[in-house]
Order: sequence, then C-alpha cells, then structure tokens
Amino acid sequence: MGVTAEVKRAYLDTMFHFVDTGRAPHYTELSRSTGVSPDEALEIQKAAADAGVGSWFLEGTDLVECWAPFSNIPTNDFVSIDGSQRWYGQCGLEALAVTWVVPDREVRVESTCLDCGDVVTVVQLNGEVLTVDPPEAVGHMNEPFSSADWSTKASFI
Amino acid sequence: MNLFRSEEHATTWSSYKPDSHQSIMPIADWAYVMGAAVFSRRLEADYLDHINHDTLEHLDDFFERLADFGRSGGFWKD
Repeated sequence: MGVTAEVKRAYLDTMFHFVDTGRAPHYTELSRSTGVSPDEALEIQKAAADAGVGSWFLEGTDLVECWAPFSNIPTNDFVSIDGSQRWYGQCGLEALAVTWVVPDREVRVESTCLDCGDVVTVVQLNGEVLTVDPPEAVGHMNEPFSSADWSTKASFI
Repeated sequence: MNLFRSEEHATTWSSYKPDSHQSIMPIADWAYVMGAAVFSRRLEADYLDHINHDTLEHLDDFFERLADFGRSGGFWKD
C-alpha cells in the first residue's frame, strides 16, 4: 500500500490520538472513527507506520509500539503537557521533539539518567527550551546514526 | 538516544560506547537539531509525502543542523 489519503489520515489520526490521550489508538478504534473494516484499518495503520519516521508495531503483533515522538509503552522519558503526565518519549532525543506536535502548550520532559538514576528535566514551549535542570545535562546517541537500518526499530532507540 | 545529567554521566554509563562521543551535545543544541523539518512538521497534512526512505532526503535539514555544531562525517551518514 502506498501513501494514500487514507494512510495520511491514519498517520495523523494516530498522532492526534496520542496527543489527546497519551496512547495510540488500537486499529479497531480507527476502524470505528473512519468507517472502514477492522482489517482495512489495520492495513492502513501499518502502512502509515511504514511511511513515517520512527513509527512501528510491536514485533509479531498488531499493536503500535512507537509513533514518534511518542512511545506506546513506558520509557524512562516521562513527558508532561500543560502539567499532566500521560506521555512517554520514544527516546530522550525524540522527547525533545514532542513540543512540535503540541503547539502553544508547555512540555516538560523528565528523563531518568541511565547512569545515576536521577532526573534530567527540560521544559519547552513551541520548540524553545525554557529551562534545563541540571544545566550541564546532555543528549547522547550510543550507536552511529549512519548505521541505522530504517526498516527496524533498533535504529531509533 | 538518551539524556544524561552531564557529559561525565554519559561517558561513565555502563553501556557507553567510546566511538559515540561526538554525539554528546548540550540539551539546547540537541533541541535545535530536533527542530529539523522531519521532526517539527509531523502535523502537516502532506508530511508523509516528504519522507523517502530510499533517498533519506527528508534528513537533509537534520544533517545541516548537526553540521552547525561541527557534527559531520561517518558517524552521522555514509
């Protein structure tokens, strides 16, 4: 399936569902909201995941695992929007991109440092970084970006 | 792809790979990089039209932003 109008709609419907609820819609929810059969909704949602960047299904299932910048399972990257913590970043760097899908809303990323277990806090609004605590916090990518296999999820973690 | 409390925390992390050192950047710099079009235009109706997994042209802005911080070379792209 190519990038049809239905696929584009499913991509955005899944994204907006994440923004609204903190989780991905199951394909049967897309089926109800779009008026297509469950099987068609699954095919369309999987095509949308394939067409996007950083979106994929849990291996061996029909369940969304990630829809960048969000994760559908808990990660160490807690994301609050306007003070409510219902979201998880796909990774620490993608968590910094959540701000772009929630314009005019304050995003607070609280990411647990994998070295010491303490928290790195970043507050953003419309892409702008308002505060970083501690100020010397950094982002890091452990695997070469150039080695990314764009067909697998491992490239993005 | 993780956030650490400092460069020292990143490099003392038990899974740290020394070859990845050039990817360590301050949060504000990474936030700028993550403002590249491929990350910041996800709500646009034609977003998927600009993604090409064969040519990776959608990542050009990402690489340009990395280059602003002197990050280029084989770690980032072939």
